[in-house]
Amino acid sequence: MRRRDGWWLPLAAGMALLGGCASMGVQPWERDVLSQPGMTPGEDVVLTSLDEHIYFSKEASTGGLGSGGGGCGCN
Amino acid sequence: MAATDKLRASLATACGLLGVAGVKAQATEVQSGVLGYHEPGRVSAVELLSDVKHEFAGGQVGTIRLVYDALTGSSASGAVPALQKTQTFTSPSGNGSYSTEPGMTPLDNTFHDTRVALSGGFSLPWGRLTTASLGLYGSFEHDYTSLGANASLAREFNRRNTTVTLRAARFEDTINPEGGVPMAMAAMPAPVPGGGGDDKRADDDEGSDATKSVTDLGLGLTQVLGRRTVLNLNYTNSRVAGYQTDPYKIVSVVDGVTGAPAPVSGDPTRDLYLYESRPDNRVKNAIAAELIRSLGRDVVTLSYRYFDDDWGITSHTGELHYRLNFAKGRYFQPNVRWYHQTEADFYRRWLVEGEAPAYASADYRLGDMTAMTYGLKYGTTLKGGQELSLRVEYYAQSGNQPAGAFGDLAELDLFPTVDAWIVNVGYTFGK
Amino acid sequence: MLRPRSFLPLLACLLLATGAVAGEPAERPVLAAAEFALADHAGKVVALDFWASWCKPCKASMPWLSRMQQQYGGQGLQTVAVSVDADEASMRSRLGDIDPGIIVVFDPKGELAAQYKLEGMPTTYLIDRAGKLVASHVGYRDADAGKREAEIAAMLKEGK
Repeated sequence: MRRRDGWWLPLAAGMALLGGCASMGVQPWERDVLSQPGMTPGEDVVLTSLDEHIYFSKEASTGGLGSGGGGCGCN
Repeated sequence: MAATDKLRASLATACGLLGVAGVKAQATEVQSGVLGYHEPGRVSAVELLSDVKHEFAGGQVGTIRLVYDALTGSSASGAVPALQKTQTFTSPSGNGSYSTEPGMTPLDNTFHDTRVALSGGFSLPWGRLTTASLGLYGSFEHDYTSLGANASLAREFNRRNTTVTLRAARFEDTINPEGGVPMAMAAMPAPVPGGGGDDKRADDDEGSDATKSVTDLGLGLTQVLGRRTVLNLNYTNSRVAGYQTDPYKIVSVVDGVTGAPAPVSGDPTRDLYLYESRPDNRVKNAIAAELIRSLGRDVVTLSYRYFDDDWGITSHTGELHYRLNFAKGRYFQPNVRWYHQTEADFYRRWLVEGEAPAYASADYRLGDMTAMTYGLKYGTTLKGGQELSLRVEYYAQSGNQPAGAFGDLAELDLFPTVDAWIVNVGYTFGK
Repeated sequence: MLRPRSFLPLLACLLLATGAVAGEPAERPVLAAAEFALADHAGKVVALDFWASWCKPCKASMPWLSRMQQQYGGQGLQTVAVSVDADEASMRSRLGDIDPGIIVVFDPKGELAAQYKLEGMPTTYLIDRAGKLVASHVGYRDADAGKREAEIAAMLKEGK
């Protein structure tokens, strides 16, 4: 059964609203654990790229997670 | 006493500075990897990737990435196996042919390719909290060229706890298949040794069939949830317009009663196979979420993606990684991935004699299938700070026997499990 | 292939190393957050820098701060490096990069950071001789070093 067109609109809007939650998060000096390896989204560019290529070639779906954010939050 | 202390202090400084003389504020980081992919009895591939990132004094970042891959072996052509006879197919060039034994899945083994891709990007900080990036991309194979450009804008909020990223990309692809672009749903012609294949080639005026353009838009949100937790969300919309058919894939036409290959009308010595055809437009949507959580010394990452397009395909992807950290930068990371997709509207494992749909494809990659990946990665940090990693994975795709298999078809495995071993070595330095 | 200029520090290192074998003094003294008081440095220009072992740009800012302390310490600059590391071992692993003339403060709970309303890592606050907070620089890039040095030099000139 096909979903209605534009089903993704409320989801995308929800994502935008989620960003407005100013109370969530940590202080700038509390980012020790977040800066450790494995804690930053999209850290391993090589593996992500190689995997995406395999799955793009063998499956019908595309689109994944973006990188950026998290980490030490420095500069 | 004071004099000695001062002397000691300045010596310490001199040594300290000597020690840090090697720290460059302008850093160049190189991440590279080699991947080996092997489907027993089918395709093998090797891919090399190198990504060089340089940070300039003002915070700008330039990246260059080089990819090389080579494919050999054979891949399912889309035809169904025949229970009682040897099938003969014309090779993509139109000059040769290959055969498949009774009961075996037809595999096209005339298929090997090398590809080189080069991409570059540049990102600029704009104030402390905004980053703008631009990139270019080019991928080149003997029968396929893709050129693209991309841009992104990232902004941080809430003292860098929230990151919002907007992404856009555009690709223009040109397809020049061996033997030319086949006419949609045309019958596979007999081989013409020494040249030919004209019968299936599209009219030269229809140059537009051999190009396609892709427009991607993405919205990303990363939110720090706590000292040990990060949430990453991403939405992607992709519109593809142009030639999306696989020019090398075919669909078998079978007798409506026996399920055996139907003959070409006018030449009963040859069996009828039609070149597949896919619609010219496709709109895809995907939404993905990733949760990264530090547990003691370890890190667990859980992710999920939902995908939907207007070809009737929907898919779910779930992935779990658990990174077990040990001393000196060593870690083990087992991972598991589960994938399930539903078939495209025009997916047809076979066509019955007399059927003439506008679109049809028997490519198993568009069918109902489930795929599992199990992997283990080991990583370590070398004395000079370089990172080395090794990952071994097992990947298996399986699907059910298509409903409605009749006659000979009911006796055959129409959707065999395809499995692959993947080995990957990674090396990073300059971090 | 050592050039004459780099030879002297290397020689100095060797001398210091032999001193180490002979039995060196205890580890470098570090102030607790509660023990640090800005008032103790009235009359000096104070560069209050918040750093951590996990902060990558701090690896670049520390050599610069050390150079500033050596060059302008005699003119009345006092650099204070406050570490917000959660554990002492991590902080101590980085002390080798910090000039001995710089006062190191250990603030694992972020009390001082919260007091100064730290916006990002790293941050350098510049406090003039009268004890007034004059500038705060969030983040560090080599390209900004020259400008910041000029600012410090100007602050040192006034009220002498």
